[in-house]
Amino acid sequence: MVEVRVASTMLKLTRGAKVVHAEGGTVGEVLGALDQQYPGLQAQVADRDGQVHRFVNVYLNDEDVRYMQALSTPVQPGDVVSILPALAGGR
Amino acid sequence: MRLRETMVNEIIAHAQQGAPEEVVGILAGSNGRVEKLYRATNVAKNPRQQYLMDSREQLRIMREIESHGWDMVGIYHSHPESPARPSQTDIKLAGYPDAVYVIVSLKDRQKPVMRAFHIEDNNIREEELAVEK
Ligand SMILES: [Zn+2]
Repeated sequence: MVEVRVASTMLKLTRGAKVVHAEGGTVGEVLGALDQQYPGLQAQVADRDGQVHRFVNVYLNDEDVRYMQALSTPVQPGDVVSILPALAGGR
Repeated sequence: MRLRETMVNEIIAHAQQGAPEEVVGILAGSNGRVEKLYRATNVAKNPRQQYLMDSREQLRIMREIESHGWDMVGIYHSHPESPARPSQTDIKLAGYPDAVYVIVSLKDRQKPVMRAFHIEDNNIREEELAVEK
């Protein structure tokens, strides 16, 4: 099982759970499994091609998955995935 | 939100040093009182009109805040040319309803303006900034 800590903006989707769990061999598979439990969760994080949205950060343990293999990054049981909105804005 | 005058000055100094680009940082503390300011790097493609905090720095700062038992009480950024109120994009991308969004405007170079807002679900509400000596 992989632990996933979700952003406070996603609590409506997870029915208030800040930490959820799912199985999977990659970050993307874990998110896909979670989407079965919490429909809409995956779409909040990535587009249909598996590209993480520009203003969402997905971390595996202490690293942004963009610096690894994005959603194809392999996960091990006990890993922690964190989903955080980027700190962003603009004119 | 409450913060010391030295922090207000530090946010303004950061904004002035970063101009004409926007700057970004995090305000950490508890019960709405700021204990520490973290400057961060703006990695937006067009930093004169956008801010995007470096994602690695963001995680590092948020972890450090957690380790102190603090909260992210505020997120600040600068508006080098525009007024101190959230833009449509600022509102759209605001993902932290528990934090106060502080904006410092350098539109009037002689007189920087700082204001704070709560942003949630596309609604904004101005927050009081209580400055302690
Ligand atoms: Zn802005």
